[in-house]
Amino acid sequence: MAGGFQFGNVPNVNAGGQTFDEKGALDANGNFSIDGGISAGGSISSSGSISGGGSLSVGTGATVAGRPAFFARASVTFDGTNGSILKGNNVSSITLYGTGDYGVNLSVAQADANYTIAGIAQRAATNNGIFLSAPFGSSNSHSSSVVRVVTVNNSAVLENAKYVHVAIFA
Amino acid sequence: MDLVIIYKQDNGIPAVVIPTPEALSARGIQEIAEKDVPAGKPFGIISKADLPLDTPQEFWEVDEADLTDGVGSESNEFPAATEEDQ
Repeated sequence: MAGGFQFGNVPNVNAGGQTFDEKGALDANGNFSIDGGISAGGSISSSGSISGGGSLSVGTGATVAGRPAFFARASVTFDGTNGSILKGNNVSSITLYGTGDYGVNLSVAQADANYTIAGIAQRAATNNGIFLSAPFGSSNSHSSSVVRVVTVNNSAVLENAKYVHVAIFA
Repeated sequence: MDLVIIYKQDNGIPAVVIPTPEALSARGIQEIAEKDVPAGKPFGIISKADLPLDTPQEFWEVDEADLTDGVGSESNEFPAATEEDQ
């Protein structure tokens, strides 16, 4: 395999008293093969890749257990009364624009603003409810880098929610 | 001391930008401010404890002359990491 590299290219290589069997190989074309796969019962297709640092990127057409799977592009949970952030994924910050009016700023922007938003809000008081919505208006209030949401009470009046949970999918 | 970013919106109401711990650790508050504050808006970085959270945000006031910590950049992306960052 000229120009390539093999791990333990000869079975039972003895190095310093330790013996290594061939487990993987990198050929001159950049193809890396691993004997025995990545993990039992798992596989990585040609549309995905694994890079160093523990990250996994998946191309289009990912499946889990044979069914299409689409992962959240970003998610966040924060306290709508003071902006304290409990957990964020691909979120750089939260903007408080006013009472019940929030922006979720993405660390890595999306390709466009046509993503799907999911979420819920929790009211601190026990009476009546609170609802998570997009800002009022007929145009798309989101951008590729900012997800705009509002929380309103039963009277459709903006009100700070105790907890706001937002995730986006694309 | 938790730090937050404030800027004055076009409607006069101060907006507050609160960094996530993850982004704060990775990029620092200055880079977050420059990315997440609207382009051209001056911003200030203050202690979160100084926010009058017991008053509705619509009644807050801020003097733009006090917002001297930077200006929102044109880009909504973090700058590419340099070798010094790695």
